[in-house]
Amino acid sequence: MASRTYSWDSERAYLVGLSRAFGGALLFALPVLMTMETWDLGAQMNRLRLAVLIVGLLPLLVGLAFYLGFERVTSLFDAVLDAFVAIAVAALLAIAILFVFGVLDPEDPAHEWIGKIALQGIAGSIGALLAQSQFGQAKRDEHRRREGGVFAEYFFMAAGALFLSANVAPTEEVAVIAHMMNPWHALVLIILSLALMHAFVYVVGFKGQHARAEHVSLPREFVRFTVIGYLLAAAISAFICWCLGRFDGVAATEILSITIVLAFPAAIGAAAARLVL
Amino acid sequence: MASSKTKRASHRPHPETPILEWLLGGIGCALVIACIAFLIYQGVNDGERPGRLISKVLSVTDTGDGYVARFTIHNAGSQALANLHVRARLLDSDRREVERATVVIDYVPGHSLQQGGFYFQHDPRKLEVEIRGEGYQKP
Repeated sequence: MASRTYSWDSERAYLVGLSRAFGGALLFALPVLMTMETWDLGAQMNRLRLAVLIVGLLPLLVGLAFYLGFERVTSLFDAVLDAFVAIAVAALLAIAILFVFGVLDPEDPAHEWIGKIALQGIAGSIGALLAQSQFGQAKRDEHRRREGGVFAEYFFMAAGALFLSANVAPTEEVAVIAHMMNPWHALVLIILSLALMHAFVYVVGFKGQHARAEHVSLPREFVRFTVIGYLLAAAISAFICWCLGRFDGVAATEILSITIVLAFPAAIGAAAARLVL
Repeated sequence: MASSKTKRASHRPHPETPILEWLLGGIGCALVIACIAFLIYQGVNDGERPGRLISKVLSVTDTGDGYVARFTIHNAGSQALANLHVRARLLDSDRREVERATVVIDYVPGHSLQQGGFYFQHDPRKLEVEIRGEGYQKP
């Protein structure tokens, strides 16, 4: 039964999974693909920071693939392979779509192409990975989800935060909103982010809602997931802003409010990821 | 009980990885490595140096009430230029200015070419055309 003879069936099944990955990448990357700032930023942003951003994305994708994978099938090696497949899918998709849009011009220099595609690849590769492993057709009783524990929850939150903040960060509006807010607005936004994060996961009853364990007190659960999740979201927001050069030549107070503004969608993304994944 | 059995089977590493997965994984890996290598190379070597602007008149069209001179401008530096102001002057044989026209080009990446046009009253074909950059903003 478990013979090593090669079967084309697995190839065909993989092809189906792959089309799903393209679908997921398209769904997740489309808002970014159709945002003008991301084309320009990809081409203009500091080269080394773009490299840092891509290097930072890799472990996140591998971790996602590992924790989302099925216990029986997914080894760490498979997760690495999955992550690279997701990147290939996202890159091919970005090239195809941007070419159709006329954003990619064959006459443009190579570094423009690479910048544009690399920045689009972030959202797309997360989407491809989710579609590949999450919306898969594995039979429930045959494949058991890996038990992740607290660390997996943090991983999912980081992925959700990265996805949403990477979508929003390239737009001018983040800096504009930060500029219009006074310190009281910022404070309210932090409290709102925390409250919504907590409500998303524990209160409003979405499918996948987490039940608080009996022996764990509410404040402890709040600190363990919501507060740490928010800090994670804020850190990722700040990292993305730095990579995109949003902090260059900006005063410290402005940096703080930009981070708080971007941490809002990132926090929602982190909370939603806990529910969905 | 079936699940505990399948769990133990997990020690056999990736039973049947499809060739297609290998292929795409390889492409992704190569893309990432190439991309990072290229970015680091560029980041370390190229920096952001402004350079010469090289322009050329492509064609002149008679519009009835004047002329349009289509031109290209090539940014030979590695610094991307935003809001590049370009001025064209028509000079007679004594290099006296007969007419001038200006255009603002949104964005010219490093080592790249952009196109535009100048509107003139005089026929640029009968005069000398001098095209110069006046200033830019760092994007």
